[in-house]
Amino acid sequence: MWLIRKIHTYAGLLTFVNLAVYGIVGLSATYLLRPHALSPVVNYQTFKVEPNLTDRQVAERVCSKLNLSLATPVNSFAIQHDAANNLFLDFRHANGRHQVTVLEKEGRIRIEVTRNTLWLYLYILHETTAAFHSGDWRMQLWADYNEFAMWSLLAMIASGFAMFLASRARSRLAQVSLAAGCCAFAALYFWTR
Amino acid sequence: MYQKLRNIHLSIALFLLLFLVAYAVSAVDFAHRKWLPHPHWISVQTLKLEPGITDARALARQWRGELASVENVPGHLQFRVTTSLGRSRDVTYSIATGVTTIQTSTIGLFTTLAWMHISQGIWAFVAILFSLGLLTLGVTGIYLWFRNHNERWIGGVLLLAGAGIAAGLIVSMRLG
Repeated sequence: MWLIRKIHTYAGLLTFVNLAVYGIVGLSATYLLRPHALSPVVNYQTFKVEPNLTDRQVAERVCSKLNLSLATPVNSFAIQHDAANNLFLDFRHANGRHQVTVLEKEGRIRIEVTRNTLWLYLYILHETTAAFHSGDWRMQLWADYNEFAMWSLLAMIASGFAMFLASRARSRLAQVSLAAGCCAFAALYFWTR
Repeated sequence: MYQKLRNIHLSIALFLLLFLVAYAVSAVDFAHRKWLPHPHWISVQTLKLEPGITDARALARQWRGELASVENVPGHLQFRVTTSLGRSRDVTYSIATGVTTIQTSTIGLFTTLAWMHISQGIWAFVAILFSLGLLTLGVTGIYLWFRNHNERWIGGVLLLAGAGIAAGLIVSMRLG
């Protein structure tokens, strides 16, 4: 039981921020604070496309110029062409979206930036786990850490229940809470299935 | 104070136990889509209802759920009713005869848990309560740990390390 108590406590302490993010996202993702993006902002920057580059190479250079490491590696669906056959790059990332039109003849790029709200940003972070592969080391570290937090939550559930069985199983308050929770879950399940 | 918060921590955790399991297991399922099985079953039932009904909404009230789609098929009403947890019924009703075919699609346990995780309606309110419970568990858990003097040093190091990494990454990525 000593070991189980340690696992419960340490897992909670190590992943406290992640669990807080889950809680905040749970509140913001529903009716209280529905996540949405802010209004887009358009600007232009000079950008010269060198000869003989593939569209992907141009996309990677644009990504690098705009410091969009969170949008790397560049997905195939991000590389498109608009009606005028200009290269159109649709970079989606945790902070929002950069829609870039490469105006080769003008030697510049048109950048439409749509920034996610903080709530949407946290929503994306909460669902980012180790299965996700990012070209940005911070996002990859977050994804791995969040994966750890997800498993830690399961470990805390199991260890917490084991501690209840070992030391508080006869508590009337605990029994009533457990029974009420199980009944509520079952009722909701059968009502909405 | 300590005993009161310990009871609150225990009560909330036990009340939320099945919800915690549902959200945690579905999180694993979202993260690793191929690990868990996602079977679904289809059953077909034929009924004879009163003929002459021309409004899909009136007919759809026979089944619990949201009227998700209505197709225009001459001589028939064809629609789909879906529940919050992913069960769907495709109904084809003959206006002339009243013969009704109901194709029910039922999903497995893990898919149901995934629906709970993302579903709107009553499950959105559950998510709010669950989130408040999770945050309360976190805060009371921190207090209970801090009151245990033997655990303060190592716990403090773990808390600072974990919070430092996570919060640092969140802020750093947000700032660009």
